[in-house]
Amino acid sequence: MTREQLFQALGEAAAADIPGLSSSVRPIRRGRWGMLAACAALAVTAAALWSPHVAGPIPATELPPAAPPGILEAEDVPGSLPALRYGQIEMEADLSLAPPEGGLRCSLTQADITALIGDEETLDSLDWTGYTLEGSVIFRPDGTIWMLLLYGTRGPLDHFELTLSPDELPPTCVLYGGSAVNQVEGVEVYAERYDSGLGLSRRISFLSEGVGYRFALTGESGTAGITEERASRFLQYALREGLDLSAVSSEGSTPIEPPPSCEVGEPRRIN
Amino acid sequence: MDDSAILRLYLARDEAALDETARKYGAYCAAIARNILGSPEDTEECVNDTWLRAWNAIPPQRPSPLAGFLGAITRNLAFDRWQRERAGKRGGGQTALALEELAECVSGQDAGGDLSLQELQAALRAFLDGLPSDRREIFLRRYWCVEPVGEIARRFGRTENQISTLLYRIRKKLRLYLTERGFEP
Repeated sequence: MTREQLFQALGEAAAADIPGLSSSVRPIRRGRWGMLAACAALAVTAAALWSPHVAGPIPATELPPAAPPGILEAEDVPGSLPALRYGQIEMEADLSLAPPEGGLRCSLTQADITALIGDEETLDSLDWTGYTLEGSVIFRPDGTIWMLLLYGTRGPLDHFELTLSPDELPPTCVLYGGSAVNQVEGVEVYAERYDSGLGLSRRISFLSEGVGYRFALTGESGTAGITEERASRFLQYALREGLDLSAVSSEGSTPIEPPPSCEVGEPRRIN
Repeated sequence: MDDSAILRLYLARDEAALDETARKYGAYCAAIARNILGSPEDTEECVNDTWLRAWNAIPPQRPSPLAGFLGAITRNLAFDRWQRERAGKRGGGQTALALEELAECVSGQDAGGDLSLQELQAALRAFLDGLPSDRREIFLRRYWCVEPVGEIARRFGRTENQISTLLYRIRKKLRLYLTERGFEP
C-alpha cells in the first residue's frame, strides 16, 4: 500500500469522527474538588494527622446501598470498553484512616511502577501517557502490603489516585453514599461521580483476583467522556491482566510514626 | 440552522441550502482545505467545489453527520488538487510532511486491485475506535485535518515533542495492526 492510498482510505474511514473533534485546551487551575479527590492520598502520606482508632479496609458488603446495576454491553461487543453507570454522590462521611501500628512505608521507584503496571505500551493503552507517576506503599509489621498508592498527575485538575490492597477494598478516608453497582465480567464494580463548576470526579472500586482496587480520577468540567473512558480502560486492564502486588518489596521501607487520634465524622449531604 | 433543516432545503432543491451550509460549515471546510493546500485562492475554489458536490449528491444521499460528509468531500478535493499541483512542482508543506509520516505505516508498494478499500476502511475504523479519545483526536487532527504538529500541541497544552512522540507511537501501532491483518506484507 502507498502512503497516498492510506491517506485517502483514512479520509472515508474517519469522516464520521471529525465533528466530534473538540477544541478545548487543558487549563491549569486548582479547585476545592481537586483537593477533595486527593483526600485518600493525603490521608496516608500525612498519616500523622489521622487516628489510630481506625476503620480498616471496607468490605464490599459494607459499602453504601447500591443503585440498580448498570447496563453493560462489554460482553456483547468484544474488544469494547465496559460501559459503567455512575451513581451521583449525595452523601459523604469522613472516615478515620491510619496505617497499622508498627507499619512501614516506602516510596515506589520507577522500576516498581513499571513492574506493577507495565511498560510504556501499557501506559499508552491505559491512556496514562503524559502523567507523572509516583506513589508509596504501606506495609504491615509482618511485611505484607496494607495499601499501595499510585498518583498520576498532569495538572491540578487532571490527575488520578489508584489505591490497591490485598484481599479487600482499599481503606478510604471518605465514604460516599449513592454508588451505582455494575456487573463487569462477573465482578461488582462500585462507581460514583461528582460534578461541580470547578471540575469533576469519577471513582470506581472493585475486588478482583485477590486485589482490591480503588481508582479515583479528577478532571476539568467538560471532560466526563475522557475521564470515564480512562476509568473503563483501567477496569478492563485490571480485570483481564491484573496487577501483581508481589512485584513490590518492603526493602528500604522505614517505620511510620504513630498518628494522633481523630474522630469519625458525621454523614453530611452534598449540594 | 441545524443539520436536519439544512438537509430539508437540499431535498427541496432550495438554493438557500448552499448559503446555510456555507454559513455553518464554511470555516470548517476552509480550514481542512487550507491545511492541505496552503494557498488561500486554492482553498476558496476547493470550498466552492465542495458546495457544488454536496448539491449534486443530496438527494439521493441524506448524509449524517453533515459535517463529516462535507469535510470528507473537501479533503478529497483538496488532496486531488494538491497531488496535481505537486506533479507540477508546486505544493508541499504540511501535506507532504503528513504523507512522509504516514509512509512509516506502509510498505510503499502500490496494492492496486488487490486492495479492498472497504475492508481497509473498516480496519482503520476499528483501529481508531481502539485508541483513547484524545489520541484518536490527535491522530485525526494530524492525518485527517493535516493540522501542523505545533498547532495540535498548543490545542492540547503539550509540547511539540510530546505530540510527535505520541504520533510516532500510534503510527508504529498502525503499521503492526495493518501487517497483522494482511494489508501489509
